[in-house]
Amino acid sequence: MAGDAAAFEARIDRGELIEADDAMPEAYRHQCLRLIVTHANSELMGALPEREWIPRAPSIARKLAILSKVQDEIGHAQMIYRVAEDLGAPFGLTREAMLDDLIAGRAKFHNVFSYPAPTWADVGIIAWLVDGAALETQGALLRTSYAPYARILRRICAEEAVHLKHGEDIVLTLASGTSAQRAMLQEALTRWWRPLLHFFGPPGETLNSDAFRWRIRTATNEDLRQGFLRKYVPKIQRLGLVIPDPSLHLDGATGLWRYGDPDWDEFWRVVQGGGQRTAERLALRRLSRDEQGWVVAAMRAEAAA
Amino acid sequence: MADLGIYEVFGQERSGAAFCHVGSLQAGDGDLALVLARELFCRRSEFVALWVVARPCIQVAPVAGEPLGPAEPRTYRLGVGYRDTVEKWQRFGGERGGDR
Repeated sequence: MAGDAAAFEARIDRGELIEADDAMPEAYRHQCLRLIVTHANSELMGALPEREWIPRAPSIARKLAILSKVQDEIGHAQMIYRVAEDLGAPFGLTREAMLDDLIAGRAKFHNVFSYPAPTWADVGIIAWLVDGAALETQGALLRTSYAPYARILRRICAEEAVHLKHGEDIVLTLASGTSAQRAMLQEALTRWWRPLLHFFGPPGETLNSDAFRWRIRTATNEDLRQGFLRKYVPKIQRLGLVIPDPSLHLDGATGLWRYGDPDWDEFWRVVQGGGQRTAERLALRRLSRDEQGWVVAAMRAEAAA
Repeated sequence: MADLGIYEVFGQERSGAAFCHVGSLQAGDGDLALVLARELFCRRSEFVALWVVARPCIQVAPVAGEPLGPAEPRTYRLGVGYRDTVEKWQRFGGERGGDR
């Protein structure tokens, strides 16, 4: 086994990518699984806040666009669960078990999908900035050492880039609208700013953990957050919107954005299942699974026939 | 109840191009696998043709960690094995290779 571990480390050091059937340490498999299952759960749960707006979209064009975005997110979940199934097979972890864990509240999904989306401007902010934040994270993960995940991420990132454009278009429309529309947009930004800072996770990681040494992840939480701030703070300011953090500023010496304490206790409360909408959205996911269980049952019956 | 099968999905981006592996999915049978493959991988007209292959039908060569090929170098299978044709042409006059 020691020889196997050394051979694996040597492959990683040579920059090789790992395939599903390759030998890998159990800890590598576990860490990849945790990351990939959380991503799949987040795609599935991420469709829910936007789904609430399909019947209320302000025009037929917006309705079609948001409908297709929701379909994309569910499709991403399908593709990523599939990657997770192959990785989890040696542990006997099936998609059914992953979904059981999710709806029972035993699995994590992204903090941002536990917040309410009370206005149409929230839909714009989510599609522009939450998807923008997701693209930072997923763009870095394109360089992950687990090849099946990297391959599917290329497809996903291309679609997320379209979502971002769609969000940008909603935000630009509202920002050039009436004073009531601008106020609605400002309120949505104010609501989402803290969850957006939380999105990347707490700072202070070091690169010597297994996740970085094995190139499962390639950028720290803080690097990703800084990438997001570099890209989006100037755009938000250009729209004349006010970011609800008076201490936010660019540190000229380091080139890094400094931000006020975003209340990491709140982050931990949310990721541990205590978000404003966590229970409600998990209940909706449970309901969907119950109501649509007959489709899977029919597929299984057909497979058995 | 039976387990759903795993199908590998291959798409062709344009007529005449090679089919490339694009991902995999779960389905009860091949017909449904094709329906789901269109839903999952063709929402933006990515492909002009699609294959689904039941995973057990795929035979996988053991991974050697390097390009598969014969044990010994066999340059006579490659263009580089015939580089000296340039010199050989010079015996027949002219300064450059044969393709004047």
